[in-house]
Amino acid sequence: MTMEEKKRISEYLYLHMIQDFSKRILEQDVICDAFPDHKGQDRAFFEFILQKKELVDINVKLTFDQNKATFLIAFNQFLPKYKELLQALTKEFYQEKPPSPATGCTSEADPESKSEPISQQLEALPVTDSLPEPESVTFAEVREAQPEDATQPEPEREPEREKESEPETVNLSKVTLNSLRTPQGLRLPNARVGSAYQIQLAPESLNRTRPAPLHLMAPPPPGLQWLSAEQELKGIPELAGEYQLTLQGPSAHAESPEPAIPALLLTINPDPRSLWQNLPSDTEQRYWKTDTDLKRLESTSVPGLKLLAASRRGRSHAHAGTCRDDDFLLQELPGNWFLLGVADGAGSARYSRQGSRLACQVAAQVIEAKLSDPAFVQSLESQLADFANSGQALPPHGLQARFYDCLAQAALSARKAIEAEAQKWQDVEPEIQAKDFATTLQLCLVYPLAEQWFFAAFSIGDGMIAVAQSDAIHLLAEPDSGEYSGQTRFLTMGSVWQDASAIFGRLKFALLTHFSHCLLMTDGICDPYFASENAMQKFENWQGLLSEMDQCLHSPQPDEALLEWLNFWSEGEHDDRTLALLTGGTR
Amino acid sequence: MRKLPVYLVLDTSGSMRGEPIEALNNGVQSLISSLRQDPYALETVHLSLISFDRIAQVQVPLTPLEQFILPTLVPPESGPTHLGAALELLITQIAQDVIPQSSAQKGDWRPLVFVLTDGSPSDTQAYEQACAKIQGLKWGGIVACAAGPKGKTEPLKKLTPDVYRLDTMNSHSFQGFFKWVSASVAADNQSVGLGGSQGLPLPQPPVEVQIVV
Repeated sequence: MTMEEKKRISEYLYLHMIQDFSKRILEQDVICDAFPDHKGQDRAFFEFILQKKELVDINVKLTFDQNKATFLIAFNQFLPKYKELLQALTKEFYQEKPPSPATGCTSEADPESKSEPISQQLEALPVTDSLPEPESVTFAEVREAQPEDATQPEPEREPEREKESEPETVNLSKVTLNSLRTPQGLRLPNARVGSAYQIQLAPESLNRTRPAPLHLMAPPPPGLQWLSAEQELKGIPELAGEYQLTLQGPSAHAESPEPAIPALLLTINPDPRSLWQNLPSDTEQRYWKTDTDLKRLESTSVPGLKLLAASRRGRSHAHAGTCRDDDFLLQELPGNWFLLGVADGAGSARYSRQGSRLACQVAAQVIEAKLSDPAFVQSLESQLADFANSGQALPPHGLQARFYDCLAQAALSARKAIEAEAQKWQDVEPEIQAKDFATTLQLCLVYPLAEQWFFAAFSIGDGMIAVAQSDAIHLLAEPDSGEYSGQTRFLTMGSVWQDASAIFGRLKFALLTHFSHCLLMTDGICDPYFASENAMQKFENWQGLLSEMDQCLHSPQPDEALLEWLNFWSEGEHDDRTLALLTGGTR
Repeated sequence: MRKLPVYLVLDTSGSMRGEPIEALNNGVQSLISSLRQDPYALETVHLSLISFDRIAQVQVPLTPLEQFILPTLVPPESGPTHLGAALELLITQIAQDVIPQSSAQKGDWRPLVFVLTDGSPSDTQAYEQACAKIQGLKWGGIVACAAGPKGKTEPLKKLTPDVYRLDTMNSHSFQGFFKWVSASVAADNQSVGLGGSQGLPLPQPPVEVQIVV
């Protein structure tokens, strides 16, 4: 396809297909290659396409609104892989609904005859006086180039969650094309400090009928350069800010002077990473907690078995200079019992750092006391041995009830301790309530049997308890998630404790001949790594996470390596991160 | 990535012509500029602008803050204030834009809405119906502000308990209002950043913004 043809097609598409989206311009190559059989170029067709689940799944998203079209696409994979699908869909659509006599992409349609809809729309737009005539419609092409790794500092490791869950969308590139004419000038798509930027402006968008060498009156923003021959602004911006660029053309010899060139308005956003601060927390404040915590134990009774825990303050807290809200517990109890726990204090509750700490402390005390009671332990161990020999997948009700008495009781005692803590303030600050200490709690007891490993878990809230084998993952917690992100249940909620069978349902068990990791994590780790709860069910989605953890475990100081690893970067995910881990479980 | 949807529902009726609309345009611009200084907002906030006068229009659909480009709002010569229609449009947009949590998909944060009007809804029946629907939905927060001498706070109380008023409609008062909106969004961001949005924890409004009780 020649440049001329591409341009004509693009203009056609622009005028007739996205006629009322004059503020956004589509990437012509992609459109034409993607919709080769597309005849009518009408909005209904695109809406039809968008409803197709296959496309939603591969992250192709084209949204329409009255003033924009956004095309979100996995660039590198799109054409070869989905061309056929799109062709089929195009056929399907036009068979269902014969196209209007409108001419297709390659026809010799006279743009004049199609100008009616756009001019109608333009009247509805806010800046009618400065909008172009239909035949000189704003036209620009933008490629937001992939940021070059070499030019961007990458101090932290990225969790490669997209790669794990959807291998075909690694090179996802968002193309949102939104030059916008305003009375002040032509607003270019926004740039970001440190990310490659490139925009080529068609002559029409600069009120010119043909390309002409236009020069900038003043130097462009640092890092960017203006190529006057190509009428292109490109480079890697260095300084955030609002910029106005003025272009000047060759002195006009023509009798009729050309219309004024609009000023180019460019917003360069800061790189969000550069804005994050790491402020110390106030050590004088009530219930102060350290920014990090770690623990490492080698089992004294089971050779090779290691227990590790690490907890790190999230960037959201570091930026505000507030405390970490997470906590953990990690213990080897007498009689070969291993206890792991994590707790995630609610970000919105002011003393949740103390809630999570109390939950871990009290749960550990209660469980330790239970497992120090010879009568309890004796009957528990004999029931466990019977269960292991029974060949059943799930423990009998009587054995489950033992763990109800132990784990659920520990959680309930933790809740009571929190209520008692809130009560202490009654005379001085009566507004303080138990919900100010809101926290989640995940507990897991691990016990080695003669030939197997037994796991009993209890969970309230959105943390995760998982046992990994070399080829399988067993989840021992159901995240208590709400209708929107961040909503969950807390230990302190009365509703959690109303229904005994619901509490009982929070107990989960596993009996395995071997395991590689028993892992408890707060959502600060799970959220960046897993696209959904369903994704967590699949072992392949765990492999990246587990191998990164293994790298830490192989280092000379595995606990410190894990703590460092918890600092990984994931855009929009800056919660506290805590994990408790039992590893080395071959038997 | 999970987004924090923020909707600005702004009055562009005829009475906003002149200084008020200019002040409004500048106010929204400064809101965006200040949000862009907040790393969490820059990564998480998606912003939409809905205007209403005789007709309710999506001026900018929900767009990542980083890519947001602000159009210049221009009111018509005169005409009614169809806030009811605007809220209907808001409900439709939210149904379309905001992903609910499910086991197959991580949901967005609960949306925040800021409504600003210098009058009272002309489409009273549509307005009341829309308010009833809004009560049935989950929000991170809805803040309504009546501005200027004709801005009525009474009808806004049907929409949300968080009603405020601005006595004047100049640049100074709008800047103050949007600065406060920015602080509210940032505060909500803080709480979503820490894994739990419990609704909008409104910071203390500036002196220009009066709390209506």
